Amino acid sequence: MNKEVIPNRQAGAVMTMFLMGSTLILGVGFRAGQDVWLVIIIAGAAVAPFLAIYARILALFPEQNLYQILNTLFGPVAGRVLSLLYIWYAFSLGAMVMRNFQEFINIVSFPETPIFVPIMMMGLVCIWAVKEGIEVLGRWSQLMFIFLVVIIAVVIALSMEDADIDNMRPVAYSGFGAIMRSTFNVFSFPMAETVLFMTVLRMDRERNNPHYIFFMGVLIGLIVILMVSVRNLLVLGADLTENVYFPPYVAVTIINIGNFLQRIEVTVSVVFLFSGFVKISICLMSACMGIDNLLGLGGYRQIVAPVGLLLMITTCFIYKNIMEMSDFAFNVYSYYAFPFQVVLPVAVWIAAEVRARRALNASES
Amino acid sequence: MFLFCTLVYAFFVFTDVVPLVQNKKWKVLAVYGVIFITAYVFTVLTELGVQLPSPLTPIGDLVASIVGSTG
Amino acid sequence: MFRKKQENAQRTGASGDLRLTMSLDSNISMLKTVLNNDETVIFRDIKNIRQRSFRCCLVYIAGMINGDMANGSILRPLMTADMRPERADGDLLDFLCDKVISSHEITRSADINLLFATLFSGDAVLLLDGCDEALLICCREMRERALEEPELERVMRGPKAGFNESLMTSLLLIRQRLKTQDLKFKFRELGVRSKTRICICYIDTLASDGILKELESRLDKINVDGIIAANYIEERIKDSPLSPFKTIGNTERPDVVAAKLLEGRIAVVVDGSPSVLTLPYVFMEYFQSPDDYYNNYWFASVNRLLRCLSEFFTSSIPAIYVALVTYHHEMIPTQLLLSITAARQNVPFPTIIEALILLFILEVIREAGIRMPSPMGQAVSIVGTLILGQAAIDARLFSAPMIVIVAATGITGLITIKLKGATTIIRLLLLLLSSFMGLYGYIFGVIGATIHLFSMRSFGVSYMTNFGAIYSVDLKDTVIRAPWWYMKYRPKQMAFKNQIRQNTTGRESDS
Repeated sequence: MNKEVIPNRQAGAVMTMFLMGSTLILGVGFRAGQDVWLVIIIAGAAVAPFLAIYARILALFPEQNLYQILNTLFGPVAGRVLSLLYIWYAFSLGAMVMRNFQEFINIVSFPETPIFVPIMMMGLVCIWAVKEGIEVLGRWSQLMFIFLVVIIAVVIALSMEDADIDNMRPVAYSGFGAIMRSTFNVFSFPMAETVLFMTVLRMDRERNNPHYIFFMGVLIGLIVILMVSVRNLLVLGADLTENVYFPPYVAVTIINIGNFLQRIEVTVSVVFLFSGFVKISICLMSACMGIDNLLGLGGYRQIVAPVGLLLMITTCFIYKNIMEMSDFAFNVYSYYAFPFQVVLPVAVWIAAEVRARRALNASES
Repeated sequence: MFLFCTLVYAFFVFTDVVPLVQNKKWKVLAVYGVIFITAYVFTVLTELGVQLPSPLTPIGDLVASIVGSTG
Repeated sequence: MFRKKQENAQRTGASGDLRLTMSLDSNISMLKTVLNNDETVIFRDIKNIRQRSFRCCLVYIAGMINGDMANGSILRPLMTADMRPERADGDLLDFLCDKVISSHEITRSADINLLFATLFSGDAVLLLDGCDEALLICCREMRERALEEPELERVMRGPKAGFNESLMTSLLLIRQRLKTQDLKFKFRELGVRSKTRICICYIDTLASDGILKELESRLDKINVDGIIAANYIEERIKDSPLSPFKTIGNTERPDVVAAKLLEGRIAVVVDGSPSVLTLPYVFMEYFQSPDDYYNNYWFASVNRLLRCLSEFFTSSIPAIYVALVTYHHEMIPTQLLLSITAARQNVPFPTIIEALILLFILEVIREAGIRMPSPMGQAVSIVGTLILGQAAIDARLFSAPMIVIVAATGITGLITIKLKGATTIIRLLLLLLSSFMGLYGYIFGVIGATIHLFSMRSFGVSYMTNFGAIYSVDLKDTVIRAPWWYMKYRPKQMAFKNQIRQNTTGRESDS
């Protein structure tokens, strides 16, 4: 139990659910319009080399997570500073996602409920899950992700009645620049957020294959996101998709089968909670592991509770309102995340390769 | 609502702090205490209606200044 | 804890200091003092017709020994055998053991504690003048309940024997079904005052050594006054003591125990309780019934699915209903919503209170059904159905849809009786959460409950092993039961040594 190592398939399942996390309620590719499918595919291609980098870093240092790798590579001082950066990223991402879900529940279902209540519930469950460890989360995800995908598939099938293929044309109307900008957006949310998995996963020498985990996990997540986004586009059309806060939710409200199966969006949205729960748990776990490594506490489970509580309360004031949330997500997030998702991993990778090369030379000579 | 939040915090004190004290893990307890009290203070402030500054605002401003105009 | 141990040591140590002496009279008077003139203990003095100086005393508890056997096999030979020193050469006790007393089980011992244990088990103790050891003769009257089918584990088609309270009978029922030398029994005694015998059964070539060792070390740590029933042990050795779900199974059917032993599990039989513990135990076993294996696999699969669905319904229906009616009206089809609202007119309670009260009444009825004597059964069921049901609705105390919901909950709950403790708690929690925040609360409750389930382990085997680990070999025995010729492997996590069942059936289709 203490090894904190999980089998490949489970790690992949966790990653897929992580990717589905807030995209199932927010949608992706905010300004892409009718090219969102193209954008997603290109973003998937763009993130692939970085996934290879993330996997490679983990493969070079078996049984270590990113915080320990940073310590090993850059020494205790610089390593700690970099760890602090990732702790901050994980923490802020967790708060942002939790705020997404809280706004969702608030606006869609319960406008009168004080904002603490959904946050409290989500936070407590996440604290509990993180305390149980990544093993439990892995096993849980392995089952729940199938369940989630089945429900999504069923709902998409039900939506096909209202789909209109014309909504996908004309292709690339807004021009190449807009597509590139949207690709950058999708790249950082949610694709490259998988960088956090470097901090949470530990690779067992024989049993784990980090490349499989990253690529399979992201591939399946990509497919699901693609299906959902295309469905949103087909049903709602480009304009509506851009202008509502929660496109997938609105798309589901349209389903009306025989006057009986209607207004099922609440069922659907509660299921989305599953994936959001995984995402927030991973962020929380990453932050706790980082703090544990930073301060040498000998075990991250002990401080899950206060970090979780701090996360919950940060969620309350991280944005003033939903408009600020949307604005940040559109305009700022990609740039904010860029150093964590691209710059630092590349630097770590180069340092790791250099060190591995040196070790190889040393052992040969 | 305020009472409920305090109850939740108290629950965590009982389940987490007591074993920590029993096992004499002072360093962990110190870190725990700091984070815990920070969170509690924030909670109380938010309950009282004080609008705490968001840490993302300076980041947003920084990015805006680097990238130029938004959008 | 410390104090009790010392007291115990003192109390049982008191008789540990006593010893048998050579003198018969002093032994008898010592026993009488310890037993404090207990009138159920009989001291029968015996002399021999040929040897004048031969004196002995048979001590037994009236009613516990088999009178015929005592008369014919013990008293008569002692009285009539030739005890003269010329004939009775060598050690007198050995002579009695080997040549005089005809009993199938005799031991010699000087241990006072063993003496008393034997006495209280229903055997007889023979004290001899001039010997400081006693003979413990097995001649107890076997009084047992007949083997009946257990109430809670009925099957439609299949063997109908069940365990009874005698350890030996239970073991022989298992032995009859597994006639292999690999079936091993390990005996132990637990309970300082009850001295209950328990037996660990396992098949040597199938069960895991690690689990066996873990079980034994946990049993070693038990130090209690008495073990009355199997549950006393179960609670002390199980893995997640705070969880409402059990991690050690129990059953009262010998065929179930035999099947589980064949899968590599370990069984613990307790004297005095017809319940046999099986470990490790995984969540899927809650939904398995021996019926599944004695019937056609289509039927069995349908039944299994039915059980799983019932469990889901019984824990979720009240919560979902309350959530929908209170928070998410738009999800209910319009016609239904209108009739529900009409029925709820003038009901004084909010839905959640109604639900809680009715669930409480459901539990009361269930518990009363167990406790009440059968003559009253008729009257009470009339009271229950007519008055509670009809009159309550007429008096506008409860709404009819709520009663339907609670009735559905109750009936679906009866299908998975083994889960009833856990289900009640989960149902209540989900209901409270959903009353707090609608379907979102319900989903958070589900997430919490499933996280709890996935975190549990039973003796090292993960609790949800058949679900999360999608090994196809294990899935064949979960929500469906695959035909026997598909189930070639034992459950992967259980059978550490021998994964391939002896299961070739001569069909050409299996490869």
